[in-house]
Amino acid sequence: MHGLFSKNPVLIKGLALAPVIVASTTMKNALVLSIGMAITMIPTTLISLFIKRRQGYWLHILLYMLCAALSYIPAALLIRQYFPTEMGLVGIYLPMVMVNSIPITRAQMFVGRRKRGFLVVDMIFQVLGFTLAIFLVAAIREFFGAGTLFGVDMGTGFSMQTLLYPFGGFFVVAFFAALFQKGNELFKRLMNRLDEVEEEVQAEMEEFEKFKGKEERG
Amino acid sequence: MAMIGDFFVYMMLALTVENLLFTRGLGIGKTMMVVRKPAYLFSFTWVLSVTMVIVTSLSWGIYRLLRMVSFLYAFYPLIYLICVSLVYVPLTIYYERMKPEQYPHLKVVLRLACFNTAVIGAALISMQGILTFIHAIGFAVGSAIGFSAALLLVGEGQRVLSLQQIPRAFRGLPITLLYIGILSLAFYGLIGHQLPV
Repeated sequence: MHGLFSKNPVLIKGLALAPVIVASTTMKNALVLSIGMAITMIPTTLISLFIKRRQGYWLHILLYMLCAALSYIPAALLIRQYFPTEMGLVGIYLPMVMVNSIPITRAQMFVGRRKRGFLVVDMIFQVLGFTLAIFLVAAIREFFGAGTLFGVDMGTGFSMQTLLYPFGGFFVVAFFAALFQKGNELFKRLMNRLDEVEEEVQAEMEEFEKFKGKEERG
Repeated sequence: MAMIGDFFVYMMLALTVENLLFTRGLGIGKTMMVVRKPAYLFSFTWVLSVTMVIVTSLSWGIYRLLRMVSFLYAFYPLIYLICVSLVYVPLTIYYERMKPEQYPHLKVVLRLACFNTAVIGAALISMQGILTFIHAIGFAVGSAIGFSAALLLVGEGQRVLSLQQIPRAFRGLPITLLYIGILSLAFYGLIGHQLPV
């Protein structure tokens, strides 16, 4: 589950940033990019389980990329069928989900080790993490930039069109990345504090047991 | 003479107003990885430049041959992969066999430089059908130079930012993205646009 928050591939690791920063100007664009990412990455991960580690590093990379390129073909045809307008708006950023570093970096961690099956679960959460990041960014940019959500007018009466430009995307993603980093830090502090409290309670329980033992003997 | 003029015009356009990093946000992820390791910078920029020029020219040629095929848009990544393999595989085999002492360092650089949204972005732009061959080559050369210059700018900016007192939540990725965003805003103004009122 680390892929959702503590190791979010976009907002913590800084992977697959180009589509999130530039193309996520509406929620529908975000939906199209998420579908493209899911359909491309999950089959690539499944096939990568069968790639042996002892083959050359460069061959690994080419095989991952080939799987991603072949998985992209049905993804593109499907998206063109159901979301033709959004596919045009997203433009060159949809094919780019194929060259993102997420499957390569995660596969390098798991291939050749016994926990290969976890790679599939890990990749699903990485894709969900990407989806969460792009939807958050797209929601802010569309709501404040155009006053709509999923194309439905929210009646805000204002719009900050600067958020719809690439530099607006950089700023929004930067602030979300800072928010996630702060959230991670607070969560780690909370877990550390809970561990300390647990140790204190354990120590007190042991003291109490010793005291009780002494009383029974005395 | 007109062709040389066109080449330089597209080269300057790609270098400045159509900069892949600042105006299109391409290659951000790899930029973040490379600027953290200055030892990779020189080798990354030359491999990226060579790859971008070769892949863009080949993609343009393949697109021109196959543009009548329906559903060609679904095969763009496969075309890109074929073109980039023609650069990646020979370079990898050359360094693995002929210069094994440099290979451990270069194998990561080759992967980062060849499989990069900047390279696929330049290839996809050349496959839009609006550029002639000279324009595509000029665009590729300008993009390569512009991206390398942008990388140096971001690297230098990160070095200066690391010496400043930045709130913990903003250290690393957030402050770098803010820095690139401000540069992107500056490029937007350089093009001649005005912010909407």
